[in-house]
Amino acid sequence: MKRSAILKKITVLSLAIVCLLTYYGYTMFNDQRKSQGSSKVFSQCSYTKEIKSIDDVAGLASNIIVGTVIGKEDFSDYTDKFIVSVDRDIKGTTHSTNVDVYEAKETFEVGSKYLLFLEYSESVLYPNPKYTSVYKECIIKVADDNSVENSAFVDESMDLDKLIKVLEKSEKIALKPNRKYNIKNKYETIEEQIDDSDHILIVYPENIIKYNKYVSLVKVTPEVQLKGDITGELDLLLPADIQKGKKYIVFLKKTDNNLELASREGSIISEDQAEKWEQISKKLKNNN
Amino acid sequence: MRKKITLTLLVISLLTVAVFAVAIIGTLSYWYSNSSSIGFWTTPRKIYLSYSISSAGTAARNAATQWTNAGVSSSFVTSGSSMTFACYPYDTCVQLEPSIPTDAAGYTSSSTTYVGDFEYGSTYKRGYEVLGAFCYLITDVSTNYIGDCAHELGHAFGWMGHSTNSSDIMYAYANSPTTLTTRDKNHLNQVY
Repeated sequence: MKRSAILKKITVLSLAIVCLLTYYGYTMFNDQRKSQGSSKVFSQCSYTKEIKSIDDVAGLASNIIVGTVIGKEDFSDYTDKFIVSVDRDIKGTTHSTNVDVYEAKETFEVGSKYLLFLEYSESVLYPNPKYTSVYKECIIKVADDNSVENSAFVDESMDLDKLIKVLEKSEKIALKPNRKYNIKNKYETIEEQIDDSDHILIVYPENIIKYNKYVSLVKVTPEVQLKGDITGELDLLLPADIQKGKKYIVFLKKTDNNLELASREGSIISEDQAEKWEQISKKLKNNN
Repeated sequence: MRKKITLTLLVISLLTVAVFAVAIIGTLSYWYSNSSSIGFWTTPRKIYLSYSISSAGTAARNAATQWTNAGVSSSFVTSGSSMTFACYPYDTCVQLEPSIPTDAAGYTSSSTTYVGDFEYGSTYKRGYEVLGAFCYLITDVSTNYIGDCAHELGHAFGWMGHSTNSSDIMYAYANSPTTLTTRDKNHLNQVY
């Protein structure tokens, strides 16, 4: 081969290498630029019990599901509410085909499928039962071909079917968390509501801290005690739209550690609801 | 001549890679976390503290003092806070933050921005600026208020992930130690 032909080849090869390296450098720069300045929420938990296997995670969960994330809503500065369509129940039965799962922002990708180890809780302040992952390191993303992404206790050799078989054989899957919920949606009559409430108070919110879309922590001093006997200031969890400077009648029930609204609807009456306010005041006067 | 051109082109391309490569924001001497990320604040850490049991409030203050003595200072304020520490029973905490699982003694969320990588030996650790944080102490689950408060404050100040050494406050599971170890302190103090 002629010397000039060899030199030509070397030049072409060098140019190709230059182009490749430049492209590589530019790609790295772009990736860096994209992630630099990008925000991320880190959520970190300190668990009381050591979780050593997927069996342990299955034992803690009240519900294990395969579901597809179909939507999300802003909930607080750190957390989103993800709407998950349940494709399959593996442990427990979810209350509906779509469930509200609360996790740190960007935990899930809308449109993707996941195997989730959830626990269930309810509150009068939330419109639906709420779910969250029992162990944040074990949120398993499932690809279209049923392969699973690396997660705690799961490696790439597993796929969804194999994992479900492992879970179905787990002895701990039969364990159910010892928690009971009994949320009252609405009372049929005012009499029933008065009877069932442990405390009925007229309060002025003094200090309000809005924690999320649904809940505010409110400091109140009862102005009038229509039922029950409470002394001093109270911290109450009340709906997020509560306003300072307005007067409210609140119907409360005692729980293990707290006082909470007696029902999802109708347990907090603002002075703006004049007719309802009057109706309740009359009933209570008659009772006394 | 051609050799010179080839060499020049190669040097240019290598320089291009170097120029475009990841921004290094510092060098680390210690690493005790199972995560490959670390955070730091560039603004004062002003904590709004709320609690229903006074011993939990006292524990949070004790924990903050320990971190201040370790070189990561903070102060407690009643307004204009940059982070919140709430100490309540599980039934209250789970209504304020529904992503807290039943088995948690403490829980921290922090909002961050990625700002570049730290060099640690021949590896790199991702560096985040912490913009705000929210800590919870679950008072009817925790059996070690001071230790758990110090653990959650560690996360809020930028200690990401957990130590694998059970004597450290930043160990993954709630444990009995009540004072920060040298490892806990060194890991975080080096980015402040």
